[in-house]
Amino acid sequence: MQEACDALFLAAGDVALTLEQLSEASGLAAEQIAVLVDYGVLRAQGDEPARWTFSASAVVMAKRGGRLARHFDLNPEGMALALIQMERIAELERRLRWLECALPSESQ
Amino acid sequence: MKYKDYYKILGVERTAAEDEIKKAYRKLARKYHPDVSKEANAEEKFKEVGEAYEVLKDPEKRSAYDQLGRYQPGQEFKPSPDWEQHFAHGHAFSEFSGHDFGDFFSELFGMGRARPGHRAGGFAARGQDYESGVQISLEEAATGVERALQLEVPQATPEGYMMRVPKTVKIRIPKGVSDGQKLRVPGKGGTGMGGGANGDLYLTIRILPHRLFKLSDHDLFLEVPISPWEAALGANIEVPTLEGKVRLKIAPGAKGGQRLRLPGRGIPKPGGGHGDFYAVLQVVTPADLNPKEKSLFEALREASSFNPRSHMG
Repeated sequence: MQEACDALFLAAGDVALTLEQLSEASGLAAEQIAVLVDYGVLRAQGDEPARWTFSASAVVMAKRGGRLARHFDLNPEGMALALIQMERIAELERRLRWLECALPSESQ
Repeated sequence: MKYKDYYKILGVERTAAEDEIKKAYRKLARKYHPDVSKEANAEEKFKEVGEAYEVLKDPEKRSAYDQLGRYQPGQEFKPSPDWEQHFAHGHAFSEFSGHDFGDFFSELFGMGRARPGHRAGGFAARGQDYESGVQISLEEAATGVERALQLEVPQATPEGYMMRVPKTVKIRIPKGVSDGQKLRVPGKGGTGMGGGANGDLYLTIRILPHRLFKLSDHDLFLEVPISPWEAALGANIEVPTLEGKVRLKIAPGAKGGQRLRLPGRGIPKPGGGHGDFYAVLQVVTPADLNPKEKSLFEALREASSFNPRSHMG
């Protein structure tokens, strides 16, 4: 019988992928990742690209960026903007969800 | 294998020009791309669309596909030995484009050649990360749960082609997850090469709707119907929570839409503590009044000076 493995919440410093590893994992080139770091979409630990490391949250974000870039032919700046706006939409949807829950339904 | 009609999937004629194919793809990508779509089956649909586009956008692959002949979608068929000789092994098809391909594509073209020796020379390569979704109930989100996930993961054949194979991974989801949250299962992705670490498995949690409760992050909401006299006079009622029934005091003069908050009775939060529980009051009027109820309401109308529209002038 296979032993169950723990699924973990994403947290700061949970993994430390190098720029090259993040590039392999996301399908993004190092230059594209650098643009996402410049725009603050990805947070890198370390003072220069050769020493950058990224957490699992960055992996999730970069993978999403990679999918969007490939499937919609986005340049790095367009991809960064899309990711920023999608995060904003997600936050607004969270707030909307709370308000929808807090209102009584209209069925009665 | 079962035939897939890529033209039908993209909704174009077999004679469609390249730009028509691109347009059709863009339209469907907007509709079904899992990162932007709200459609229920978006991921599955986009997988098909991406696979169809991968073949039809490339003249070489499209020509190979066209030479398979025409079949009904889902119809069993086998490519002629000629076709296989000419295309499947003669062409180093497809650098992986990021689309997730189905069995039909993989069996015909492979998912792209594995790159033996790509990391040769002492380099270690980390294994590929996998992604999957998992649906759990609200109760399971509150308590945590174990699940056996059936995944389809890429694996290199002896010939060096990538195919998808089934794999079961047993996981323990911690209590306190929220809808849409990502979790990481370390080391359950692809196997690393040359001593490199295994990849991770990333899970997206979906919490199924509950019969009674609504969930927003870690806050629980329950709509509580009350009668007009309970709203006017106040009441002490019993309501269900995830941890059993609790008594709720409704103050006189309660309004529909009013929220009564029970701190810490939502679902657990990852860092400790709990969300809150909200009872959302809804004043419900009886649809059918018996004669006595009717006369009592009429008496109330005569006796009351209350005008809910007084602010309208």
